[in-house]
Amino acid sequence: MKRILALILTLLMSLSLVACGNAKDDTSDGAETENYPEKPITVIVPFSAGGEHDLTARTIATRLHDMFGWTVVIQNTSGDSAAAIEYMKDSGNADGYTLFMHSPEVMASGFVSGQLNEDFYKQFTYLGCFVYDPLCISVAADSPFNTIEELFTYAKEHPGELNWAAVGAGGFNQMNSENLWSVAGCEFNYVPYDDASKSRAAVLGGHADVFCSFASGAKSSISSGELKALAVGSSERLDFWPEVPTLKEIGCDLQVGLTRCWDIHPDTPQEIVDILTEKLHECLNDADTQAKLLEMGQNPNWMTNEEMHEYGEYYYGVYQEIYARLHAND
Amino acid sequence: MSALNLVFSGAAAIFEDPLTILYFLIGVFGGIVFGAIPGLTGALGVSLMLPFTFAMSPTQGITVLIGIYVGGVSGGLIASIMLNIPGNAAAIVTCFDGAPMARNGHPYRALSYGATASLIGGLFSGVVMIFVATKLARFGLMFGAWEYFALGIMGLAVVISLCSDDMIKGLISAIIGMMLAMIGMDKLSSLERFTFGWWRLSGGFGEMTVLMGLFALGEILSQLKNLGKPMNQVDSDERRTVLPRKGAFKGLKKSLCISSIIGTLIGVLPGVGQSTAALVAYNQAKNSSKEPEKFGTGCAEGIVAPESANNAVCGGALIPMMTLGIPGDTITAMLMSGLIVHGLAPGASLFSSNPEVIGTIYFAYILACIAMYVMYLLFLKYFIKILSTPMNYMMPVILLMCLIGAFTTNNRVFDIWVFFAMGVLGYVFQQVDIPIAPLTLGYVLGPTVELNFRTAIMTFKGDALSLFTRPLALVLLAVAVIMLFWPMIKNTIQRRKKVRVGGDSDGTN
Repeated sequence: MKRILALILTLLMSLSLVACGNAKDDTSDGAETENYPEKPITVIVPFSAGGEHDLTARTIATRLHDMFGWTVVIQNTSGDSAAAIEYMKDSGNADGYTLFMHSPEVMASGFVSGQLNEDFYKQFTYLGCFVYDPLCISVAADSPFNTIEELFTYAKEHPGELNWAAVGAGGFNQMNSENLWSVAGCEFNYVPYDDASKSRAAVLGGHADVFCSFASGAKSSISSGELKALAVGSSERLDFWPEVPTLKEIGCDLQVGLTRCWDIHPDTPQEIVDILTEKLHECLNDADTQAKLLEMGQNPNWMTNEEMHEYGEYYYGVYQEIYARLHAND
Repeated sequence: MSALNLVFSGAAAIFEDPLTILYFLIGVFGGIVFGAIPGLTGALGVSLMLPFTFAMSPTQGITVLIGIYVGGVSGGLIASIMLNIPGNAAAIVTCFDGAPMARNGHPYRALSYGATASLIGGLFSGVVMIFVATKLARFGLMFGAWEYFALGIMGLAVVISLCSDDMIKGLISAIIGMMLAMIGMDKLSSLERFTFGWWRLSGGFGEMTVLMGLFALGEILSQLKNLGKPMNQVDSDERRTVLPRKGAFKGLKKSLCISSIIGTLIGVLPGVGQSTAALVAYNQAKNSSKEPEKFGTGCAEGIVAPESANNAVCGGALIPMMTLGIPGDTITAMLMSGLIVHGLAPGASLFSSNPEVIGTIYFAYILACIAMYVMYLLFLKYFIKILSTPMNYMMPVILLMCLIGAFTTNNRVFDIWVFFAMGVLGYVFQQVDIPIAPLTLGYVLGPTVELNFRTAIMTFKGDALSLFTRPLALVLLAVAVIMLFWPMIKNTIQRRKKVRVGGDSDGTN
């Protein structure tokens, strides 16, 4: 008898937990927008705790708390951003208290490469972008290349000889790299790793020649002198690397990087979207916020919802073209 | 600044503020508790604590996180020994001999071996970290894709000697492990594999869900049939403390040293992890033992080897994190972000710009190992008392904790269902006598082998023979081959010896 009782208790306890997880806030209709926010705001970050997206999000969340007294909770779901996007479409998330962290250009690349099966980059409302983390091309300190021109000239003469270490194959980073090479007129051997720390270790250990990353991921190794930064993908030189040229300066008319931004369900009441956008903008313009972001190597940069949509649309075109070229022989 | 000066400056920074010490002690204690409760892990503790450290000073933040890290890895041994349910993935191997020893009436002795080995392994890697961190980090960088591939193969070869009694079942288990790890998004191409178009599967099966499901829920299900029966836990320990009696470690010193070295080296290599280190150390101890048949029945060496190895991984994993900014595992990745948030990005520049932070990490790590041991001395009897609650109360609570653990890793309810499925698989495995340990190895090392093989082939532009230009990788593969045939070699040697002994006796007759 006891045994059965224990079994039932166990099952009940576990079921109740599952039920808690599924319970949704159904009171989204007619939400009061005057006193927004009335409860903690949750930001779903589809990356693991301690990653660069996560750190940026937490910095902004802390600043929002300091400046406006808002409680912003960061929730990490690592492993798969596609699943996180599917979850985000749930209409229960249109109450204005559930935010997401997706970049339009990444979603556009996912749609082109087949990782995502819908054009999600169009479907969401962006609450403005707060960081633009530009592409950064660097080499090991003992590398014979000292400028981006030297590197590209060598690669033109020896196509596919140098190893170009980056994260992931076929997706966002590879398409960005291929696009850059075609603009610069040279060719490298693309070697994908599953993690930026691994590709960096490969370049530091001499297993690959070029480290292709975003500025924030290379900053500490560059300031310690283990890596030499050759070029960045932003439209202007970065404040913390005034000596590093942009791709535009060397004649590659490109702006390549990663936007770090929050987005929200498209059915969210416009008043709430306006409040969130305004406060985020105010938060980013604050000197303390900017100092905190720069400390982590994140480059503060504001973009509006419209600009984000344009940006996503532009990159969708770019990626489609690259994808077609990459798969021309399939 | 010399290494010792760094340690002293770290000590000064920590002792400057009594609040830091308080936070630190709470961190170590909380780590042990999180580690000891199956389902809750040190990683969860660190991720819960991380946002709070943003508001603390860098010294306070890093000391409390290191406290949780060290306590969390070590705490797993309590549940492994007392309940035969691993408190965390690092302590899976500790069940093999820890639980039998406790069941034979020596729970305190088992815990004393485990805790002391944790202390020694931790301190060993701490000393290595302080004095040769930079050199070891350079050694780690020598590992390219081929080397990691070879290392993975070597780890998988452990399966062979781990289940030399029933090879087929061991292989079945290892292959299922590799297959489970393949489900979800491919880490290189970001394409879905084995998801059958179902988006819920595209997140893959997390380590915590798979390993805890198999070991913890599998064990809970098997123990269900004993529920309600009176427990006849014999407790014939003469000493009720974790302090080992004099001479307890006689004959175990070699095993302790080798396991600590294995743990530290594996820690330096990112992404291999505690559970692998513990298994490799256990296997090494078993292979070099004069009485390998005693392993699995509650021998001291089978507790000492994995526990010293898994704690040695901590110090090892901190090395690439500090010197290169490359985290060795998930927890060190979070420790790193705890520093980055304060503008102290780890890496070689931190040694020159903020040496006191490095000193704080050194000292906090050593202090955490000692504090952990002292806490075992002080509180173990209470832990044991809690754990001797009747099983019909205990099991539901543990199950609930496991479910919380499964959910919180990724905040996905689906992971709970995966956890249940894994528990059923673990139960079936136990009923048909398939060992689960090889599955762990397959699950952890399968992706290491696969991803690095692909990266290696791409690095060398499709030339598979380039493997033969990498001496380090070849050495590792040679070790793997020796391990593969070791049971056979050993048998032959023993037979020869027997024949010789037999021949001698014939001669005297």
